[in-house]
Amino acid sequence: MGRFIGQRVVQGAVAILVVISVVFFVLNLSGDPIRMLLPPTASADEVAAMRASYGLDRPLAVRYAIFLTQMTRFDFGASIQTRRPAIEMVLERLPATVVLAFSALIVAALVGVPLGMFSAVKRGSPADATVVLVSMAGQATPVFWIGLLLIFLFAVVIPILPPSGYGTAAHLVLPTVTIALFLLSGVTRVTRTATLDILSRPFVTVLKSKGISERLVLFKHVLRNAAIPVVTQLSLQMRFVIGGSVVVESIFGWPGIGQLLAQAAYARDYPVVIACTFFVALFILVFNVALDIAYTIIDPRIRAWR
Amino acid sequence: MYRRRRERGVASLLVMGFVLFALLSLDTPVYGQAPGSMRDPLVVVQNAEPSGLDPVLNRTGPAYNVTINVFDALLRKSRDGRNVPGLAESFERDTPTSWIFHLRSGVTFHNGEALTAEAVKYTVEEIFNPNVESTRATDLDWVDRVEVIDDLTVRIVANQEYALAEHYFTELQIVPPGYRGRVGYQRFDEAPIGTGPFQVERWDRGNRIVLKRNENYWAGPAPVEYVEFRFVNNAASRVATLLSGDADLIVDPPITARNQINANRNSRFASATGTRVLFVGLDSVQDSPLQDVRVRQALNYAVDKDAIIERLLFGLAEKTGTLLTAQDLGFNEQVRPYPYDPNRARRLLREAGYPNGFSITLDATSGRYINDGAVVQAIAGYLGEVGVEVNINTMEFGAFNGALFSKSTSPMYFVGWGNPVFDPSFIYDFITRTDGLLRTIEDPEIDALLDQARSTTDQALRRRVYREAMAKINDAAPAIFLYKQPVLFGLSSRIDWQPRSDEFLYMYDARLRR
Repeated sequence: MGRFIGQRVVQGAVAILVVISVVFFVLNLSGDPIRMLLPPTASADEVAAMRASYGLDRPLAVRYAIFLTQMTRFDFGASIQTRRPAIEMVLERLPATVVLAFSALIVAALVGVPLGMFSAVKRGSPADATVVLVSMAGQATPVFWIGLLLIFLFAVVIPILPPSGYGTAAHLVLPTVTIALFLLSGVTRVTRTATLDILSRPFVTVLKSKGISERLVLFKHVLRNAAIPVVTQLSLQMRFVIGGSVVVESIFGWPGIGQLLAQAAYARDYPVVIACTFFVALFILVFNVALDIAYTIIDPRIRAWR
Repeated sequence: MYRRRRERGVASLLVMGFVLFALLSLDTPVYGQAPGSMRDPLVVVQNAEPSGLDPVLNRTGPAYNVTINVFDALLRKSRDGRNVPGLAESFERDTPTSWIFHLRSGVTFHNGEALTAEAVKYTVEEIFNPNVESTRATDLDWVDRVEVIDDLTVRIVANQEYALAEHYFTELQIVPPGYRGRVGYQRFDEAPIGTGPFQVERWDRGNRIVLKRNENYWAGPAPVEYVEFRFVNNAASRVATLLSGDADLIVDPPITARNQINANRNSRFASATGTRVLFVGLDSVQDSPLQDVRVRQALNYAVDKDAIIERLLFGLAEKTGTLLTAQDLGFNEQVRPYPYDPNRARRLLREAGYPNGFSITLDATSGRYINDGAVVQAIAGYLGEVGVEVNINTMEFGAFNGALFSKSTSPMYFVGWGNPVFDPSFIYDFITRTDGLLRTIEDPEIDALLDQARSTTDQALRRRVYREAMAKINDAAPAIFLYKQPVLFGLSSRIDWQPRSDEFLYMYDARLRR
């Protein structure tokens, strides 16, 4: 178990290094943070002077080497736009993104799993067809469009929720539903498939023939066995939740990492972009390792193997 | 069995905790509060959050919208673009390169610190302080030094004659030396203190900045007690904040949302002339058919600007001949804007040796300027009709901006340039000069004229020189001249506020109706 987690951590560290290196080069090879910082009327000499004072006049290879040395100390440097430590800016935004991601995940699981099981049990019925159709539509619809639609429905047409902003539970509802709707379709479909798979196993037939009630079979035995693919699906979706937060947060004015990342990338403020990317990657890594541990709780067989 | 119960317990605890957290943070609703009070502030929704609020460090649009309410400058920009007294109740130019300002007496910063001539000197010197790395230094590179004459009199000396100096005095927002020196510029950037009509009450990063009225403001307290700035990047979502009654003022609604905003009983659409001139830059330096002046003129004849203004900008934009409008100094009314004449365009292309036209790339951004995607499509369509096949290369703004200033764009680029001072130098020096910031034409005769206008503050002479330059630039066709785009706002039905051409959000001028 310990060795397994150790391996995952090393793999994850390499992945994070690759990701932030790519971000470093892409940002440095397109656009110019100093031009985004200074007024458009600044002369070429003034831009050059400012670039030198930020150390941006050195060759890219040298800057990459410096960047890597700083990374060994988890030093992301200061934001070019605000001059504040990039890590401080990211950490103050982290809670908003985490709250949103987990609330969306919880809603998606609480609605998607029962819906998928219902659909599996009623396999072939019009109800099943409706669930499958709606979940496919949910997956195929762009998140920003769902977000805007929900805003207009529940903040303008029926004004019961705030259209954007942060601070109260009411503000959390629309962004959560937006992301949850996107996740829901995947969760529902995977639950349905997994449930169908388990329902066709001989042990289910045995349980039923022993006279155990259908409900007990479904919730005690089938759900437990179907849990692994469902949890895997949720974990895979987590990266879309974080990636999609860039879109969702800028629609809802949600002060999380996604909004910060979008603004920083726009301004080519690469210390902040890299710090954001690092934490997003770290978050996904930690989440996946946690999930591997969760598997062993859900399914004792996995524990036995290791 | 025991373990299973524990798992279930943990799961339900998590859910319950979450619900509890959600309920606890529920805000109590607002009923019967006076408009503009703490619980029901005037809400401004702009597209981006300021990076900081220290005017010594920043003067970006999102920051300036806030700081203009918190600080005062030596002079103020009036609604019609004149430079009128601000913190200085009067001023005189004692030599061609220096100004004496007489400050108002009895003005204090929000913490009680008195405004003195020393504060003016400190502000300018901080902008030039190499440790501060201010982005404002480039705006003031013509300033040589500041001399304190007495407590309320200060002299600013320039290192050259500079025609636009007074404009920059309207942007020189004065900071308190005592407080800023004590807390340091980083802290001041987050929680500044000024002399302005509002003071910063709180800043929730990423979410909002709350301003509270300064009861001791030297010009009398503002009508509105609380102003809240919020930040929503998505334009459609900003419109929703207005339609739902959550916002009183939104910046930059999509022009296509005009009818939707006007149809709602909570809101109305508002616009002002604006200062940003839109054009298609024609790079005649890199190798392309644009090196031939006849081709550049042909492109100007080929585009129906009136139709674009009418259909895509709802008639709200103002056509610009040679990048200027009639308000600008040295505007030459005898220079006729290129009319829409596709036949003449075809003939010019034939004469230039392109009877079958050619193919060319145009760089553009999307969502940066009003209805830009549609406008660029329309331009490409018009050029296609005279045989010039335009490949539109849509770029993310950061990349576009980098290419623009490193002069590595495609031969054609669709861009806007703000001219807040109504002075041609603000356009021509940067766009149509050989060593300008953008690359269009390289013409020594035009350069000489622009140099002549730059080296004097004699406005009559400058007017004459620019009239001549405008005619020459029109013939040289460094760009497809288009229009000055309006500034657009969405207003709630309860706010009483007139939009300004310079886009400044002075909330001192705003009132809220019950």
